[in-house]
Amino acid sequence: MEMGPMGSQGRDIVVDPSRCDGCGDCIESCREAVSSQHKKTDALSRIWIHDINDKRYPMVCHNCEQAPCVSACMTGCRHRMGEFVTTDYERCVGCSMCIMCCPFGAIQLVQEERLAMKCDGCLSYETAPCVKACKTGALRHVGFVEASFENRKLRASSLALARLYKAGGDG
Amino acid sequence: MRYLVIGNSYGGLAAAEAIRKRDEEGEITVLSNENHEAYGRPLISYYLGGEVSSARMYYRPPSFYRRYRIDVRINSAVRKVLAQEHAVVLADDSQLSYDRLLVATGGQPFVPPMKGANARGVFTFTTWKDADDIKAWLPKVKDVIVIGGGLIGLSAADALRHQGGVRVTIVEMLPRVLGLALDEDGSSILQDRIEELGTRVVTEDSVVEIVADQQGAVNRVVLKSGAELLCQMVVIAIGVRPAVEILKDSGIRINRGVAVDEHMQTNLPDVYAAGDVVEARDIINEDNRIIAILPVAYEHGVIAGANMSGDPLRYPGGIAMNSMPKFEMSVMTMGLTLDQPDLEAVRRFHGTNYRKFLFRGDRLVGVILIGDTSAGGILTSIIKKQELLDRVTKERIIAGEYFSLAAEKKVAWSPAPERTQELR
Repeated sequence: MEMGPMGSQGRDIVVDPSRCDGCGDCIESCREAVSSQHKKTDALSRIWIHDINDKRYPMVCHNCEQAPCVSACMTGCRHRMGEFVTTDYERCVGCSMCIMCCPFGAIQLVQEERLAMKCDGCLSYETAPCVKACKTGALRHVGFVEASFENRKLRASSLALARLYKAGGDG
Repeated sequence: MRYLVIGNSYGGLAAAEAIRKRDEEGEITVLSNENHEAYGRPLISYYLGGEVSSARMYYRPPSFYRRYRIDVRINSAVRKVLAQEHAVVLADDSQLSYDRLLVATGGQPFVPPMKGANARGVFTFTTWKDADDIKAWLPKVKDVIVIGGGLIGLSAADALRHQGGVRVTIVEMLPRVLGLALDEDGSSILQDRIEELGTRVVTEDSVVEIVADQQGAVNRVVLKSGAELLCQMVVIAIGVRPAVEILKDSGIRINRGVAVDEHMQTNLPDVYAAGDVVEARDIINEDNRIIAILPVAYEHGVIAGANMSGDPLRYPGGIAMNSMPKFEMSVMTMGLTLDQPDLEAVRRFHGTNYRKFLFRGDRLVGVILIGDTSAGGILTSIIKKQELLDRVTKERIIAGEYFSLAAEKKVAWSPAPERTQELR
């Protein structure tokens, strides 16, 4: 019944904040990639970089193993596809229940569009545009089996963000 | 194994999905007393307001029941549960037996004894059918009275104000709208907005009588204060009560809602319950109570379904919360929201943005966000975790620096009960 660990999409976006120099190329490429989904506003990026104590923290959907945004979705538009948590924006009404439940603040209400938008993985691209744009290696694709290994490695390191940047689960 | 689920909404379906994940062979039957397959219940206000078409109402893809091999029976109201005989009696007197039963009957609108409540043009607002009935009646309508300024009442009022030429008046018994979820400051910001957008709000008053015309159609309401308001439609949105009538004499223990343990099991071994009908664990109040909201219903369902099929997951508990982007304003409330002597309240105002934080000692126990509700989930997760917060963390919460809390690992990640399933 279940998808294999690799899912139908054998990749994830892994974030290594220690490599991020805050150039913002990922943000620009994201805006371009999602622009067709914005009908009433300029395209908004679904990856953000937070500056905290002189460190950069790229922030993007973690595709949680146990995704609260899916449990909370009133329309059923938020769902799992392979290992990604994706959104059918034709059905989203922007009720913000998912925003109220996302522990990472990775979902953004676009008021004018009445949509709660997040990174949906750019599954139609072989390499997600943000990953392609990242020159420092702060964003990388890995397969999902590998992703869980990468996440364990990140967690094991003393990185403050280790816990945050695993692909989900309560670790 | 024959699984029977009464209720085809979030709790019931989450359970059916969780069962099928663990039991490939079992027979799963889901009964619905409505005339549609599962739909997004809160979407009825978007549907009534013309924002969502009927095709977009459905909660799951058309192939869902077939793929999960769920025998869904719509228009199948249950009249009675015969728990001793492991069977239920349907409205047509036929019986259906089960090995394991899930009660996920949800809530039903409460209509107080009120003269004239049976007039034509008087509606409740909790089902798709209600929305259709209201739509059908609308051409006759210039003035609507919405009784109740809670979540359902405001949703109905927001949808109705979008109907050309319809004037909406909300009558609320409490001194303010959303009075159970918002404090005075929050309510007054919201009420200002509601009135700005042309909807009238009458507080501290209630409808004592609905008066019909000679054709039996609603003509006006009489308020406790003596005022009379002309109207051609009344929407009663006072609240919902757990739908427990069918459990009468079943031996299933009921307080206000159905009593369950941490496995969502009732006092009877083969009977489980989930959703708005249930009293389950409330993390903040540290007791069992009804939390009638979608995310909680879904999580109940997952836990109940897992346990029904032999996987003893425990329900970690939930918190009351709600998100209401109505009247062009975002409102979120999580956990406790009203002042209490044992809580420290911190308020922050920025224009029409309002943030309120409630702390019990060094724990965050509640939040109100009005206007800017972004990243509210970070706060939800901190509330759910109930960890002691240090001074710096508390200050950052109050300052709105939620992301920095996330980045520095101060976000408590409260997982949903199990892996989110792929929809097939």
